[in-house]
Amino acid sequence: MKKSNALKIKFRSLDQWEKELLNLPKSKKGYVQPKDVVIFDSLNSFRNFMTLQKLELLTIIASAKPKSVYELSKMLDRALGPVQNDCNGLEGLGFIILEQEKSGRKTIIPKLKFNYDRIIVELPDHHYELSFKAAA
Amino acid sequence: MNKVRIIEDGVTYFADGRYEARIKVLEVPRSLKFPDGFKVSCVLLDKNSKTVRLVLDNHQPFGYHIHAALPQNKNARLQVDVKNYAEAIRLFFREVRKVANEEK
Repeated sequence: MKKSNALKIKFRSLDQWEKELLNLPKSKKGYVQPKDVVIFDSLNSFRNFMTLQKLELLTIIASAKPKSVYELSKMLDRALGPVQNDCNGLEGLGFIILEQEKSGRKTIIPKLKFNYDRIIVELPDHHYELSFKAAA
Repeated sequence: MNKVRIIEDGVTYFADGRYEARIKVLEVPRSLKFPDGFKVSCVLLDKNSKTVRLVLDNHQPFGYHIHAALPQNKNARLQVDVKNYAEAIRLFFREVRKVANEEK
């Protein structure tokens, strides 16, 4: 069976993080954030960042694997500029990478940061998944 | 054996993903360089402008200090009245909240 990979979204407020850090030296275990985890300070921050357009963009990158940002904008039927901005935002927060071709026209290829097929949003009291398959 | 232990190595995004707070804390042997036994690096990045807004770290000969004039001047260090790890963490979060509140 094919292994399913997930990118996890977690939440901790700045207050909560500060408190954890102030208690950490007393605890035995330290914390190294795994590469498949992205942490926001609040659900609102995440919702305002992860617009439907960005989610659609991620879905297309995952499923259609466009060979350039231009091709991605064509697939999305959106203007290149805003798509480029969304790509930059998603790259900045570790959802995708923008890889430059080593030869030829040195095109920028948008790719998922790693081969994940789901985004799992881990709320303190709830849990839901954004599946690329369901969204496609 | 002189052991270095990772206490924290994490990132949190806030203000709708505009800012990234990155904190790395290592427990290191107490020495002249690290009198309280911690090596701390706290960085605040503006993801929109792709610039570093604030850095708080500690090393000889400065002890705990802030790079507050970023990104214009990387060498401008502001000595802070911080004696240990806990005070450094509190100061960093105070400064981060100031930036976060500016955004509201």
